[in-house]
Amino acid sequence: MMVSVNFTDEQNTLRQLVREFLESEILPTVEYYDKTEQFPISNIEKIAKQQLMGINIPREYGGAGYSEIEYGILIEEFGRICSAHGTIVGAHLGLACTPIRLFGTEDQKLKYLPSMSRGEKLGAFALTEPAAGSDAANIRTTAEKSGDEFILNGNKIFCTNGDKADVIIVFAANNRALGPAGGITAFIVEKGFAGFSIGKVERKMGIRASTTAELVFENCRVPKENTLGQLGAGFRVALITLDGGRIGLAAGALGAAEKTLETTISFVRQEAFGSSLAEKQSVQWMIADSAMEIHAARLVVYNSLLELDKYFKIIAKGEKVPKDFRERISRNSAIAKTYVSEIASKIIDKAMDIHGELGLVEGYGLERAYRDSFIAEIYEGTNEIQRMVIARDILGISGP
Amino acid sequence: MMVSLDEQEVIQSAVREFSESELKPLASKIDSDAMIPAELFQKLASIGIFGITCTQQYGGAGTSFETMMRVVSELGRVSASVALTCLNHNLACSILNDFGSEQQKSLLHELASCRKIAAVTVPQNLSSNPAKISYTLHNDEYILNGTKQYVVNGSFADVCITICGSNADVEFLIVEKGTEGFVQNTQIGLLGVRASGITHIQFHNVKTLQDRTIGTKEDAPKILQLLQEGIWLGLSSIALGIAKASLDAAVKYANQRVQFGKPIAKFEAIQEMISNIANDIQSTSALLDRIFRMKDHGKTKLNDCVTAKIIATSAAAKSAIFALKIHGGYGFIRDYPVERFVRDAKAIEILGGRNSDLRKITARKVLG
Repeated sequence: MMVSVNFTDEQNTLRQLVREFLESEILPTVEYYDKTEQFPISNIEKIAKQQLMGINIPREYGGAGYSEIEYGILIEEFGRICSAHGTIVGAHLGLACTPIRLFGTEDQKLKYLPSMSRGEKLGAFALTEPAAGSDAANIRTTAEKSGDEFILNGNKIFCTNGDKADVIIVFAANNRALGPAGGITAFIVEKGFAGFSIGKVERKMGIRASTTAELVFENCRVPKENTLGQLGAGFRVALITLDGGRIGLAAGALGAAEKTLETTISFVRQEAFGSSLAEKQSVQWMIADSAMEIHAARLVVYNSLLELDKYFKIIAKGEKVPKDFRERISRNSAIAKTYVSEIASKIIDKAMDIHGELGLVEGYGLERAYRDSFIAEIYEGTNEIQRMVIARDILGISGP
Repeated sequence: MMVSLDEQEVIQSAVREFSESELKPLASKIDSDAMIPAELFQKLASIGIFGITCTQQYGGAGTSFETMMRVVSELGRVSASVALTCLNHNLACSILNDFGSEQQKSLLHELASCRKIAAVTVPQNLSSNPAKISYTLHNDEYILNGTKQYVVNGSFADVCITICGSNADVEFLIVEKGTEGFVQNTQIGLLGVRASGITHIQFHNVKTLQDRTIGTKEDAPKILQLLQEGIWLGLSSIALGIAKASLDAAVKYANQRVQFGKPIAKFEAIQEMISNIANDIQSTSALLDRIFRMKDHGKTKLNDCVTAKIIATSAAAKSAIFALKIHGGYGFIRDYPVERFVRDAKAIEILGGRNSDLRKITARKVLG
């Protein structure tokens, strides 16, 4: 399917407003939160005040009612100023609000989405476990039915927003023998549920303002009405959510790449010692290569978002998605995530080389962008796994 | 005095043992605190690797340049910060030892025992910032002015060997901590090699007597060469150490980590990354060995050192990133050392001059 991305005036205005807000209100604080590894709670409040914490949530559930394109614009703009803030908002919207919006019952949507849209409640997504990283189907957390409740037991790791979240989408095996086909269920867990606690909070190389935590479920009691989607259909919930999440993540990487190129352009234009770096062919080539990659990446990201928007609308209506459409979305999401995260890393790496020692200095911005860049190649499925998914789909083979 | 091959191996294995037992447990803290603890300096002094190339009468071990590089590489395998500080200190010692006057050499006693730490500023083509310290000679006093950026050991050095003038008309002067107008700024927060005291140092009409000049006008090009070779080969050696550490970490993790029912080492994509690291280590080691052998015969060419710097530092940067990727999410977590290897490798790649600028040196040579 060919789609073209022409931003509407409204979308361009939104981008402008978001950029002005982020640059004036958030950007001045990001180095502080990176350095101190504090969760930027006051920034999240400011972002919420701008109604950005529910940008793509329908108005009837308290959101701003925009499409996935506007969500992409938001995450791209976050990528320009701070990937950690983008990660917090991306996990909240893309990984927690989205599955509730797509798979939740009317009651669940009315119960959770309005306060999440207002940013009063923060969302998270808990799939990864110590033994289930790339092999996501291998989850060991169990959900046992007991009367009107499910009893969850197990540990989740690397959960973005995990220790700060109020509402967490948790995946557990209701029947390990069935595996991913019918044996995994998604649950909406509230932080106050008995038997739920926070484990280790990780210290990371980058995206330090965002938190990454272990979640512990010890006979955690979840009311059966908090089952998200059908019993046993949890793996599908996870896969569809991540298909969307990865495209958002690509939008963030795109923003980081663009900002880095802009920084590099102004740096090389400066005169120093009688000439500017812009006169050097090696520098010009880097600028040209980066511009080409960003141009392609922007098409990949927004083309994928347009398709994703259609895809999510079909799912939200409860209609059946044609198989080839579903497969194309998965493949294109993997392509977008892998391609854009890698060109972003490459552009940031080359920008470091051009800057010389200045690129290494804390506070200049590039050093943080460099540390942050690696995570986009890892989270929501490593790029190695994405390549496996893409190749398997193209070649029509299964198994790792 | 030349140390025999056996002695070199003995020293190298002693340093490896020290690095594993004494340094490794501190490496992560050195990075996060951005500080090498004073007790560690004492331990490093007690095994004699700071000032190792100084002749024995000044308290050194009188080892060869190659042995010093192998020591730096072993340290780099565990802590790039400590390795870089050691490299810079030792290069300063070598300059004083080989070219200093008897009076200047008296400083070596304190440097070889690590009671004092030395820094040496780098020649113009070894930094992305070619600013120079200008000097004027007034009677028998030199007056220095200017700023030198990103000086290794700059924040804490007690003795700074300062390159003044341009590479064509260069003087090496000894400036000591506390000299009027000599400003050592606090360490700059950096991506990698965070504890090596890298900072800007300023000279505001710093007056220094002519007898603080090292060597004669004829010595100057030789000192410059020692410094250029020393820094480029030193950074290459540290890079080799980081690449080896990355391989160790990657192999260990790939064999341990089970996904899809088998250790991830069984997957071809992982094997390919590990193979790339191992191949880079082999080729970098072979290149460095060849250069060291040539150096023993007095045949080193600056161009070879440039080649080593480009090849070794790019290899380390790539190897560390492969190791990080093999670790998946764990690679991004600071409990594992690979994210530090990535940061240190990138910093080592950038120090010593942009590789794109250095490639021009190679091109000029090849194009004639």
